[in-house]
Amino acid sequence: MRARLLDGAALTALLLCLPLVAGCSVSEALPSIAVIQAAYDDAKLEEPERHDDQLHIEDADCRALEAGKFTCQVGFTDKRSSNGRLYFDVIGIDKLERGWRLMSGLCRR
Amino acid sequence: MTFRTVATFAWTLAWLPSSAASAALLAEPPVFESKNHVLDIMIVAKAAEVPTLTPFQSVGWIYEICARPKNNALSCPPSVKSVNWYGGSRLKLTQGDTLKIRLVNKLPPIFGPKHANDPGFGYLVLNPTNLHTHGMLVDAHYPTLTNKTYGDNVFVLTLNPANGKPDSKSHIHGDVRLNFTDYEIKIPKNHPSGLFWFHPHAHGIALNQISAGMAGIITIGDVRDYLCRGGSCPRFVQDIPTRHLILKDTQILPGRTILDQQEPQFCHHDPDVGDPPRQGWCPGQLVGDFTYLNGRWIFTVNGLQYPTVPINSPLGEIWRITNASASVSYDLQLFNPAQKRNMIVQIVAIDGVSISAQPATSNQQFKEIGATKLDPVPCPPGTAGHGGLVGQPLCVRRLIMMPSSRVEFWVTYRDVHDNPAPPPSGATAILRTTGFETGPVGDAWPSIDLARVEFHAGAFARGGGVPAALNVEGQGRELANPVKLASDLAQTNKAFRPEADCKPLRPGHKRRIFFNILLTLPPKPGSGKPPIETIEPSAFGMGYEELDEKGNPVPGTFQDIVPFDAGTPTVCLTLAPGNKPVKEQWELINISGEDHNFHMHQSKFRLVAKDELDGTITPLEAAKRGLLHDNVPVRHADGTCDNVADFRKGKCVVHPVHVEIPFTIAGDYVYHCHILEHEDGGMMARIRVRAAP
Repeated sequence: MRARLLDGAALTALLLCLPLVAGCSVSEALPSIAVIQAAYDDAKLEEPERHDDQLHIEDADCRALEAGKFTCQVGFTDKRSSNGRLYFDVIGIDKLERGWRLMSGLCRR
Repeated sequence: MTFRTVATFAWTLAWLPSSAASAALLAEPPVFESKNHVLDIMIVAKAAEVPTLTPFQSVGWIYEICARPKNNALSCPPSVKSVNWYGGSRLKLTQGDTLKIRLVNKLPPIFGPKHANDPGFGYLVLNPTNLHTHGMLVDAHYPTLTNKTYGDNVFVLTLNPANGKPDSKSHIHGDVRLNFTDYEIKIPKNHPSGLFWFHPHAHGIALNQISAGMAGIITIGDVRDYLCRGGSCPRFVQDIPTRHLILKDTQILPGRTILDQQEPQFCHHDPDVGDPPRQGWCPGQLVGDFTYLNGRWIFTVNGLQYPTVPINSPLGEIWRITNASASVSYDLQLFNPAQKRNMIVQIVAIDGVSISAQPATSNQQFKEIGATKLDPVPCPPGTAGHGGLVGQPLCVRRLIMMPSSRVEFWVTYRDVHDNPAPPPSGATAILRTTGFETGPVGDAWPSIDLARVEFHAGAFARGGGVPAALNVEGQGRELANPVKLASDLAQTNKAFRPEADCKPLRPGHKRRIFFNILLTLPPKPGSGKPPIETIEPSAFGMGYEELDEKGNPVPGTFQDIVPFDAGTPTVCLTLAPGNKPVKEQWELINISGEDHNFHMHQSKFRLVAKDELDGTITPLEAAKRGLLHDNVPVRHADGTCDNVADFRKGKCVVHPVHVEIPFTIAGDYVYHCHILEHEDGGMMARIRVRAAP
């Protein structure tokens, strides 16, 4: 299942109503740009040596892998740079009881 | 955009069984042509049965191509699926065009790629891919918020999400995308006319993807751009047909599985007694504990095994040949069985740049600036029909084509004096490779008959306009100093802003590049750890140092020979003031016992001959020899050097290749050995070129 995410909830809600692939229940919303940004900010605080600094998530394209586990293509800019470049990475992000957690991606390059 | 793909090809021939398939007529590759200066296509990398790899019905990885769907679908319409894409397609462009490609990854996972066990490379099992337009002098831009496309940039990988996500230990340098990546490649107005090609460049599995079938060709302009320059175009040249030949090879295990991690010893170099004729394939052999018996190593031309090439024109044909094999080198010849010798052909272009050799360039000089690619022989005398040649013609009876090289030449039937002549009835020739050995620890690529050529008498214009040699007014000379091209690229070059640690090479200095096969890997500097033993000599690497005007290493510049590290650029340089081309001399030193094939992205270069090295002639005069490359063989060392220290002690004799590279394009790109077993193994380095301050 795939959907290009918008910040608005409308498309997400629509997607929740679609027939879903095995392992993806209707109760699971795909992570939004804001959710991914927050998960990245948390991960950066926890493991600053692992993650690049000052990244701003610009867009995301997510799909569910299995219950609570998602993979997303994210487009992001580097706030330290003024070259206008848009970077892309594929991340793993899980929905845990205590919230969203960045499992892979957005590492130092 | 016009799609002549299906209608013009008799692909039904491709479905014939093995014995009949050998009689298939060679057809041109499917053509996708720009319209109104735009070619907007989708390339889907996917698995597909390859009907021409008879007697097997093997599944290869191919590029399916169609016009980009207006509904953003990531599949091509079913109407084009009857094409055998394995042979490779041709993207037909002209200067000033924009090539827009949406590359879609629908490849299956790879089973056990060799380098997936290398630290950080676990993601390779997902079969990521990307695209490189080999030899083209185009920008390598990154996406921005306002233009999300890439130029000819290899630092992006596209994953097929159906294959899963990278494991947590994977470390991918560069961008990573899901499903597809959009490329937008502008062809500069002053881009040379010639032959180029496109292929994946995913480090670690480039060999696997190309040997399974992923490659096609690109043409810019037309051969008449360099056979008819200066306004006059003799009727002979106007009418001469052009043929494109894409050489590929694929190894198939007993059964039908493709061995995408190719084994160079799959076949014996020459046929054994009792073997069937090597017409497009050779039989597998026993290699240690592995058996390839009953398997086949298949060599195709435009996807066909040992096709027939009918030359019906009385003028002969211009052949444009691409070595699109991953690792195979060809010792290519056109053998005339009646005369029991190889035919003469006249070279008109190499690596996408037409030759513009000044008159009186000697064959010895051609040999030096052509490296081991060329073994020049005297062209037959006479220039009837052309009123004299403006340049020195270059003729050969054999060509060494290492992976990625392209050659364009004139083929016509010739009599015993090598003059063009009406072919006798039933005249034939065999396009063949007699095999090529790449050194004492290198590979012995097999001898194979690739195609059967038939010369039909037709209406040969006896004495009426068929010259002994073509008049080539090429672009090699002007591209040795590509000032106009730099002007075309001014805008994109500016985007790569100057960086403090990128400095021009000091006047009179050179860069020296080392090539070696590694038995041990040096530890990270400062780690205090001992060298790491490798299990087998399968790691490849490059090293670097700067040389001063006397040829001595500049202290502090040496970087030992290590495998590719995308995160650590080896070289950083700036364009000349005004972002004009900056010329650098590089010395290529191979200290291993195996040949390599140096390729620089985004650049052409010329070889520096002895007389220029010793100062007998100036670089300006040398550039008039007008022969450029984008890949060049670097011969193996004689003797044994395990490392650079051994080289400095003189434990081996090396055969340096000196090149002058006019860097013209800013960006992040790579130079590497184009034997893809070596490139995937680490014989590659990253270079940064930045705009002038």
